[in-house]
Amino acid sequence: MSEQIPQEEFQEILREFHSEAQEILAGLEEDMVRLEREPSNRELVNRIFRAMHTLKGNSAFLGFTKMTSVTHEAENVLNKIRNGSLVLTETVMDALLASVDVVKALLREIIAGEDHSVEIDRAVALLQHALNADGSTETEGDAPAMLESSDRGAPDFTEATMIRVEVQRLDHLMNLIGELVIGRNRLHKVRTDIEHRHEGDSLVVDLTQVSGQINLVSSELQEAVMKARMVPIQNIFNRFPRLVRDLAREREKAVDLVVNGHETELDRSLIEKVWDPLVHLIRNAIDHGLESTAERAAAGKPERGQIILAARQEGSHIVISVEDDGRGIDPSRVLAKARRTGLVGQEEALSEQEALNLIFAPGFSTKDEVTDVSGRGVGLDVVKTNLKRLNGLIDVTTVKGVGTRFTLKIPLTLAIVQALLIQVAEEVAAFPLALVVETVRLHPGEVRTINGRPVLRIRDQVLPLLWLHDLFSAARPAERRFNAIIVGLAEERVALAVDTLLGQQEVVVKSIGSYLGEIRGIAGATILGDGRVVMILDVAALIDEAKSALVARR
Amino acid sequence: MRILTVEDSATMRRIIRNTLKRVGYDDVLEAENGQMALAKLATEKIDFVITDWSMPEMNGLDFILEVRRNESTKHLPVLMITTVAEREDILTALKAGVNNYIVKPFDADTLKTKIDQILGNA
Repeated sequence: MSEQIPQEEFQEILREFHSEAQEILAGLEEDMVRLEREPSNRELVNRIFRAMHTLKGNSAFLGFTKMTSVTHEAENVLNKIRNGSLVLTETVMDALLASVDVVKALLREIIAGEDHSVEIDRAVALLQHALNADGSTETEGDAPAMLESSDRGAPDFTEATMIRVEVQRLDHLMNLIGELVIGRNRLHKVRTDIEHRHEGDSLVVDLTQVSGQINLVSSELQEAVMKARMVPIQNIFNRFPRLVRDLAREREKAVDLVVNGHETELDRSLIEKVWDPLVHLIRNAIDHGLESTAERAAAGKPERGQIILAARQEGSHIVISVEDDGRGIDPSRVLAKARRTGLVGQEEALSEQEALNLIFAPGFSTKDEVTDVSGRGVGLDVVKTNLKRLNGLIDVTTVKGVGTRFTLKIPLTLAIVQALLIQVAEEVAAFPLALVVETVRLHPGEVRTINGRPVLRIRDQVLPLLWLHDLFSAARPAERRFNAIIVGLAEERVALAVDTLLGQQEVVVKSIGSYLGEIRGIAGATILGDGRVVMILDVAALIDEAKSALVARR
Repeated sequence: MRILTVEDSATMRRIIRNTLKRVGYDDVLEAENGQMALAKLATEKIDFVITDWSMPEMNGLDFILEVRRNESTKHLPVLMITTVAEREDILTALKAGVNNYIVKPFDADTLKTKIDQILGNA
């Protein structure tokens, strides 16, 4: 067929085909896993059948014969399930899911425009085998299921209300808005200065009005563009039912996945980056967090383990949690192991939370000792590193025998941030406010010393203290009260000593430019309302500094 | 002549739209399923309908039955696009009142010929 369609039209149709196929595939896996749990849900079978049917029809039209063959077989299997002549066993579902994998690979091949020699024979054979198998001889196993606790299904947007825009265009728009915000902040400052100098002048009244209006409109514009970049976290959440199903089947565990808040939105540039950390956490939960069916029964727990994956927005942050109702983590065993491996000194005293946080330390867990501490720590340092890159926080709470919850907190966007402006001697600098956990006002006498390093005791935690005065080559205060800013990144908390807190302001993060290279401790720069260029401090680097200094003294 | 295309796949809608344009029909409205098509028929002046079979909400067959039941659309020419080339299915469609059918994938000439046949211009 394709040779009859003019080239430019074909490209246009191909783009449509690609995005529609992606949409279909995203929903398809989720629907299939759900079908395994609700085999008699007719509406669901019909929807899955239609999805395959559309893929088949479209690929046939465009001459993608490999995709047509696979989807044709899958359609046959689904048709038999639909009219009740085939029982949906795990083997049948495996064949159907395998066909989805192949279709995905074929789609990538088509879009790349090159031959990746995607193999379809195995999937076709599996489907044909499933088609001819007598379903009744197979026993139904313990399939993981997908429970939905909130409204299901993405809103059904029609072509008329949706357009697709290249991401670069949105990025460009965001950059321009950044410049506009800088200009707006400057205008605001100029206005305030002029107001002071020429109070009561009618021109000044006009200026105030105009400036106020620009202020308002630019804020709204910024919000609108940010919204345009937002995508529902559904885009990655809907891949988890399949992942959980396959992993649970592999580990021979019975696991239900509950997904909450899949409508929560996150900046497009961030959404793909939370995938890896979440996969790690879910994998760990199934591998090690959840007990075997027998263990659960012995402990008087429901045989089916449960993982709750939830997302919600909290102000300018997205909070994502992965919670299991498994065996929990024992901090004393974590600590014992850390002492054995030399991560923590023999006589060093740690609070329970501090001990627990050791699971995020690089190289904490080695494979042969996985079961020793219920296997936590497998790749958790990777999770932490990923989150640091997103300016995110990670926390873990656990109750022995009841379960474990990991909570990730990620800023909605990285381009325009609320910043805390601080002053040390004559220097002004900024932090992303998102990383500030709290601020405390202290007297220098309250600073303790451990192993020759300054520390602060805040509630039950001992935090390393880093004097920013040292960074700016200024004298530390000896008598004057000062402010300590407790900042957090991933699971780490560090106190930073400054003289004054100047307040918070919305700033646009600008990179310093490649000719200066990477400067340790500086994440970027911004321009304040009065035109001053101010450095944005790299909290991750400062934390590393404080921690490594502590370790070095050990 | 204004044509209404009823088809749930965005790709297929575009293919049909492009094909129709190539054979000289550029006044085309679209609906994603039978339900939405009925709404269009109630508000727009439509001269010809091209409909898919398998669609969510209301499929092509139920849609045609509804079209034939309604006094104002009873005689509206309808062409059905289908992948199910099985005899019985086609008979069902013809009994329901489609004027003709075309099997996917089709080319521009076949589409034009089918439309012309229905309109009696052949």
